[in-house]
Formats: sequence, structure tokens, C-alpha cells
Amino acid sequence: MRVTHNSIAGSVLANLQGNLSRLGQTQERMSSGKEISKASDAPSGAVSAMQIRSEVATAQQYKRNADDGIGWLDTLDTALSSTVDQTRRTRELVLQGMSAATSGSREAREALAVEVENLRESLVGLANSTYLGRPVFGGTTPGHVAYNPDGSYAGDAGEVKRTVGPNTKIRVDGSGPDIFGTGSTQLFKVLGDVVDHLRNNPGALSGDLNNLDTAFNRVQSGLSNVGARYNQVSRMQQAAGDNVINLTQSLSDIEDIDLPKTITDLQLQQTAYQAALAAGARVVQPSLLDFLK
Amino acid sequence: VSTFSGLSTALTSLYANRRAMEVTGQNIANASTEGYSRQRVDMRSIGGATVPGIHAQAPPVGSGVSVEQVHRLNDAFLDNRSRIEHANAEYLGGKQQLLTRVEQVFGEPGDTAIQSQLAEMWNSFGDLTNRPGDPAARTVVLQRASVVVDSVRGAAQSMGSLWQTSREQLDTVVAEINTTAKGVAEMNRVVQVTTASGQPANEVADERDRLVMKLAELTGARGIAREDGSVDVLLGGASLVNGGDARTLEAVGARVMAEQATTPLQMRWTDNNTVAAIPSGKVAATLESLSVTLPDYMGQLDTVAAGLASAVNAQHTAGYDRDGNPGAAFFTGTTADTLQLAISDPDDVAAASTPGGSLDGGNADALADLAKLPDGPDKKYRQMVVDLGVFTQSVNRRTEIQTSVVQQIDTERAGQSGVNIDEEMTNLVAYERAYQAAAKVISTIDDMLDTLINRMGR
Repeated sequence: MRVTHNSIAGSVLANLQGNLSRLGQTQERMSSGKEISKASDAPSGAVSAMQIRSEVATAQQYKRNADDGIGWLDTLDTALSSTVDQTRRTRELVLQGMSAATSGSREAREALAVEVENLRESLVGLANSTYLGRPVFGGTTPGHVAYNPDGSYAGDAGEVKRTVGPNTKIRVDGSGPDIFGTGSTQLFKVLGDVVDHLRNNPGALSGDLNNLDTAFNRVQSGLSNVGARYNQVSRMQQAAGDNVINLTQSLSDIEDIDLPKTITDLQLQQTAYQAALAAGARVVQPSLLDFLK
Repeated sequence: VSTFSGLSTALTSLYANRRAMEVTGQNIANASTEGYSRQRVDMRSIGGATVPGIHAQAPPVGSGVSVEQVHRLNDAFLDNRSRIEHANAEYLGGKQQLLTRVEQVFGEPGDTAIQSQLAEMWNSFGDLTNRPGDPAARTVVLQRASVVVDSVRGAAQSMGSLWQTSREQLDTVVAEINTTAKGVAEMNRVVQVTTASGQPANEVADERDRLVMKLAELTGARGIAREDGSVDVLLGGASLVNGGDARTLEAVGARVMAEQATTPLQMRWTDNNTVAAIPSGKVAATLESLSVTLPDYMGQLDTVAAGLASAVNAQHTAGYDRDGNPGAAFFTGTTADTLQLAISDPDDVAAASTPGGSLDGGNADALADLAKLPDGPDKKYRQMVVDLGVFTQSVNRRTEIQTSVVQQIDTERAGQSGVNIDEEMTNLVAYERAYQAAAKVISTIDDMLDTLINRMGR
């Protein structure tokens, strides 16, 4: 093939250009820290990156949902633990009242009645425990209380659920009617009866004791139920947190540069560029003109 | 044979070699002129009398040298291949440029692109599930949704303006084609006339070939050399330049992307109004972008927007707002360009799945779950981005290969028709020596004549 100075200069220039553009690309990767900055850099990697990004967002949401669920369940747990303690105390008072019914004075029973009345008020207060302004035993009620002062249920039958994992929705409220009962064995109704019977009809107290035991058992099973759900949510919270870390790691594996490799590449390309420059300077220079006198 | 004939023989040599040195000078002067083809003086010896005359006394000796022609040393085959490859390179380059811009419109993958904004919107529904009574959570939902709407609409508008810019550029390029074709025709005429009168028209031919190359780069046109020195230019089988006549093209049809469906963009011949086929080059790339690529991605973006609106609306109208009323449509519009947020009051977000104004977040939860819909907007959007990525990547690779092909053929062409200084210097020395020798012949004959005329018979 015939060669001219222009054709040599042209190919030297094109090669230099090629070297420089590869160097530029590597430098861009270095400075941005990203292996994939456009979808066309690696289409399959880019789509994985997008998918993982949305999975990270979902996992973060699960974690936030679980955090919120833990808040609800914590409130429930505290409220129910106190409810169990105070109900136990009430039961003791009822037993005292029953023995007082046969031997005790009216004044002694009145004192017991007042204490039970106070306990009942405190229990209604516990049943109105709120988390972020919402009564935790009131279902989805927009109101501020789950139980009215007279002990009647003010909430609704709605359920508060938190999505804490893929297809895992866990109930994080305590249903008032389920835990505190309904009808004649409803905790506050029973306590109201106890107060009434302590004052007026001590003989009926043994029936109240049975009802109180039923209500007490219901609250206790509610408490253990809350505990089980608490464990479940906190496990899911942990899983979601781990998932965020794993996914972020995968995202970084796909998108981010391998630093040592990129630095090595950069150095190699710099060397190649310098070599091409040096060669170019030597090749283009001489011609017959230099040797003719 | 005349006594003095040797003098005129030497004189022709002086003329011829001087001409050769002049041409060498022209070559050296144009060593780095783009498109210049080196020239060579074609010398031929002038023979003696081939028909013996009655009084011929000496056997016929040649009577010198003449400059037959000044040749352009270009390779027509290489020129044609170079035009084809340059046209392909321009075509791919044009496509690559457009696709790179479309990619920039979406900016995926990134923390601020539409995919992330969609994820943030779904998450805001998730937060609303946790706090359905909180006005802040509701406001965040509306804000995140309006960011998504703005981005989708922004992308649609960017594609629209990309279309518009390319369309305006096309008009400029068409004008350039017409001017260039006219230039080729004019130069053809000059070459025809000059060649007919036996004069070299090498410089004009070089300039003409440069213009033909430009036509090839713009449209993928082919050049066919004719006997009389002119070049005909064919565009997809139809004649663009025929000898000294040039035809003109025009771009007709849609002026904005929306019109593309009803009045598609076309290239036409101005004289008979028939459709002109553009086989390759920059214009073919522009036409393809305007009539296929951009409308196609716009359609996919529309599908994403319509899918987003219908999925969210279906779930949103199944729920109940803060006041307990059934949810209204969340988005309006069925295309990316017309997508809009339909509600502005945070209380209108239908978070509850039960009527009556309870603090239920069931519907917000269902809305958040739309992120994982198997055929949902997220999936469709990702599909579109991966399509775009794969297509762009393949065009990038083909462009890279084509660039090296063009580079190779340019080098070959520069080697074939370009000026080599070493060669010119060698020729210059040879011509100079020949000139000196011819001069020596004259002075020798002069000596001989001096002897004959002045010293004989003394």
C-alpha cells in the first residue's frame, strides 16, 4: 500500500484520538464513581439497578412500617401489662369484699368499693392509651378514645394493619371488644357490677368473681397475643433492615466502579497515550527534505 | 534531418521538464489540502517520421518529448467505497446522537430519575397507611405524585422539543443538499467544457468530488463518473445531478411530533412531487429518528403514563377520603403529555378502605402495593428504559466499528491520491537533472554548430 505523510498523520491522529477518548471514559468512571451512568453502558445491569433501587425503597418502607407497628405494639404491651396488674389487684379486693360480706362492716365494703371504682377509672384510662394520638384499642376510630367514661366501647370494628414484608400484613392494634370483652363479662361492666354489689348486694359478688376471672383471662391472652405479634414484627423489622443493607450492597456491586481495577486501567491507558504521543512525534517528523542539500 | 533539429528536441525536453517541475510544485503546495489528488505529468516521446520520404537520408530519430496530459491520480473505486462508508458513518452517528439525547431525557439509572420518584410516591402511600389522619402524610403524597407527574410530562416535552429541533435541522440540511447538488452540476459543466478543449480540469474535479462526498455524507448518494469527466449523482436510483443539471429536494409533512401520525414527514422531489428515497447518511438518520424512533419512545412513555393513571385511579376510587366520601380519580390524562394530578386537597386522598371517615389506611396500603404490580407502570417504565439502553448500545457499537472502517478507507485513500513529499522531492531532483541535461545538449549542439559555422574553412 502506498503511504503518504498525510495518511500517516491521519492514522496517528485517529489512534491518539482513540486513546484519549478511552482515557476520557475511564476518567469519567473514576470521577463519577459509577460503572453505569447511562442505560446503554450495560442495559441488563441498568435494569437490575433500577429494580434493586425500587426494592430498596420498598424494603425501607417495610422497615418504616415495622417501626410504626412496633410503636403500636409497645403501647399495647405497656397498657395490657398494667391492666393485668390492676385487674389482679381488683380480684384481691373482690375476694376481700366477699369475706367482708359475711363478717365485715358496711364501711369496710364502702372503702373497697371506692378503691375498685378508682381502679376501674384507671383501667378505662389504660384502655384509652394512645399512640401518636390514636387510641390503640379503638380500631380505626377517628375519635380520641376507645372507651367512654361509663365503660362503653367508642371505637369501631376496623383493624390497623402494617405491611412489614412482601404479602405480610400484621395487625398492630388491639381490638377493644376482643380484649376487654363484651356483654356481661366486659371488664368495665364487671367492675361496675362489683362496685354496685360491694355497696348493695354483697351476695352477688361470687358471680362477679367468675365474670372477673373470665375477663382477666381474656386480657391475659390478649397480652400474650400482643407479645407474639411484637416478636413477629420485630423479626420482620430486622429482616427489612438486613434486606436494605444487602440490596444496597448489590446495587453498589452493579453500579459502582471496582476502584483498584479502574485505577489500573487508568494508569495503563495513560501509559498507552504517552507512548502513542511519543511514537507520533517520531513518525511524523522526518522526510527526504531533511537529507537533501 | 535538419542540422538544427537537435536544438528543438532539447527544447521540448526543457519545456516538458519545466512543466513537470511546476506540477511537482503544485503537488507540494497542496500536500495538506483536503481532497487534493496528486497530479502526474504524462510525458510521451515524439517519434521520428514513420513514413520514409524520398529524400530521407538518416534513419528516423525521435524529435523530443511532449506533455501528453496532467493526470489526477485518484482511484475511482476507492472514492466510491469511501463515499458509501462515510454515508454509513454519518447515518449511524446521527442515530447515536439522537439516542444519547433520549437517554439524557430519562437519566436512568439514577437517584433522581422517574424510577426513584415513582418509588418515593409509592412509599408516601405507605407512610400514609401508617398515619391516615396526619395532614402532613397526605400532603407528602400529593407532592410526591406531582413530582412524578412533572417528570413524566417534562420527559414528554423534552422528546417533543427534541423532535422539533431535529425537524428544523432537517430543513437546513435539505437546503444544504440542494446548494451542494447545484455546485456539483456547475462544476461538472466546467469540467466538461475544459476537458473537451483538451485542458486539464483537475482542481475543479477535486473540488467537485469534495462536494459529491458531502452529498454522500448527507444522503448516501452514489457518484458515477462519465467519459466527459463529469460525475452523475444518484440518490436511491433517482438522478440528483445529471451532468450539468441538478434537481432539488424538499421536506414536507409534520412540523410537530403530534402531526406525524396524520401527515407523516417525507422527502420529495420538488420537480415532480414524488417521494425521494434517502438510502443513508445524515438525512436518513434524521428521517428515521423523526418518523420512527422518537414517536416510538413517546408511545412507550404514553403507555407508562396511561398505565400509571389507570392503576392508581382504579384503586383510588375504590377507597374513601378523609371525610368518608368515595375517592375521586387521582390522575387525569391518558398520555404522558396530558398527565395531571386531579386532586389538590390533601383530605381528598382516599386512604381508607371503609366509608365513614375512619382512620383506616387499607386503601393507601393497596395503593403502595401497586409498586409491585406485575404489569404495572414501574415494570413498563423499566422495560422502556432497557429497550432504549439495548438499542443505544447496539448503535454505539456499530458506530464505533464504522468509525474505524472510515478511518481505514480514508488512510487508504490518502495513501492512494495524497501527496508524498519524499516522492515529490525525488521527482523534483529527477526533473531538475533532466532539465540540466537538456540544457547541456543545447550547449553541446551550440559548440558543434560553432565548429561548423565559425571554424570550418579557416
